[in-house]
Amino acid sequence: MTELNQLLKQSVEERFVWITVLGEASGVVLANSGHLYFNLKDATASIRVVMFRSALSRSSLKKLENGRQIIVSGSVSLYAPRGEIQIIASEIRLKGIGDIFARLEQLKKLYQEKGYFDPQRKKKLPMLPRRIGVVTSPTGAVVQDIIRVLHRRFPEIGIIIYPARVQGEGASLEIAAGVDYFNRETKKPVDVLIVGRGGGSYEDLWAFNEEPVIESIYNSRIPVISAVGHEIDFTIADFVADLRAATPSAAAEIVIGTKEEFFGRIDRLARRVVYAMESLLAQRRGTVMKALVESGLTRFPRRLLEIGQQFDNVDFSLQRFMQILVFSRTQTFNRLMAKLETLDPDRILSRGYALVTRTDHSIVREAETLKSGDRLHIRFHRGSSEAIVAQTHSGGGS
Amino acid sequence: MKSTKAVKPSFEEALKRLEEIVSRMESPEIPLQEGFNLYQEGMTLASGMKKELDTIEKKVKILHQSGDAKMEETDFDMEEDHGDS
Repeated sequence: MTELNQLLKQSVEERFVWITVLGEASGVVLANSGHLYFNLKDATASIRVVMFRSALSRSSLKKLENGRQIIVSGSVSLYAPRGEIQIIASEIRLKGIGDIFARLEQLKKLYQEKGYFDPQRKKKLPMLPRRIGVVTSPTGAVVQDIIRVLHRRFPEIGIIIYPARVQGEGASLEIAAGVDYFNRETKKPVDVLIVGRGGGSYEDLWAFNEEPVIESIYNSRIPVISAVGHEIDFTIADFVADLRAATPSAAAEIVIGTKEEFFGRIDRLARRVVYAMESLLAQRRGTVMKALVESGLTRFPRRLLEIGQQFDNVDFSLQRFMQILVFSRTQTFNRLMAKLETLDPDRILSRGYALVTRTDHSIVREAETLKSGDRLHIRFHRGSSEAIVAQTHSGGGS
Repeated sequence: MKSTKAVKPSFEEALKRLEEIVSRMESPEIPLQEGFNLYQEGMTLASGMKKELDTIEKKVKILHQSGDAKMEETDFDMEEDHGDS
């Protein structure tokens, strides 16, 4: 017996010096000795695996759950006391993607059903945040990138960093504590939060799928931008946040416009206000002049024309006029307004003059053009009358 | 000045108002007096907003846990190299 097992052991070990196999872990036991035992199986086969304490301590594996897809590397041997073939694992890596992706989808569905991704709940980002809270690792490139981009866009901006570990055990609690801290801090509040980290494996990003982070973002009254990893990665935090940025620097680009953009926008609007005012004045002047001509009122008292003339000059030097508006404000303008009002045909009518037109709406300027029996329309300041010409006296104007 | 915050419109509100002013002023049937009032209001808003953009305080701080579970702000040094994370 012993001899046979020895021979089998020898031939197996010689034949399978180093193997790498993929399977699902089951019956996982971490023995008191510190060795890890489990079965590796797929749909049709199963094999015993042991990872000794020494190998386990060197391994990147922290925890092995039943059902995880894993990749085991090591040698094959025969456990003589039981005549059992087993793999002696040197390294175990989580297969990850497939499995993690399924868990991620599961979580996504869960929180979706709880209404955590409801678009109605998304808070609007402030247009001009004065202080920006950042929850991320204080070391490494990410935090530096965020600050650099923010300063490039808007040199005067307050940035408050809450340092948090962004991967590993307890990371999600630290991130959540950061979000909660900013929400509690009312003395010097921040206007918006960026929560994130750089790219990594799905395992590295896992803290952003964990309950403390999800809940803290969900309950934040400050708008949150999630900025986790590179573009292809997504985490639950991305869905629950008010806005998802593809990367931390993208978050910095999104959170605030450039200072030049702000100034440009205000200047453009201010210019349109000035143009509108100019054209309002120009147009009003045109209307008044047109009305004067059409109404045959151009021969009206000289004083009116003089005022019109003044207004004309004002129109030509609008630039100066605008300066007057700015510096001497309403007084000057109200005077101009008063003058304008005297130019208004309605105002002229209010002083007792009337506007006489024929049935074809043409204005009557000379009595000679009328004959007895012509129908006329007379417009007064208030109301109008229809009249019939009884008699006409030709002759020069007054 | 800072305690009168409730009276002062936010930057967003001011910008929105300025946009309203522009579209009202550009409408064809606006009376002259209203146009002038809006003109004044618009100019005041624009200069106020520009002033606001220039008075934001620049700083970069990092929070630290101080003794009694309170957080304290200290300056964050951009050049400091903590190594990789």
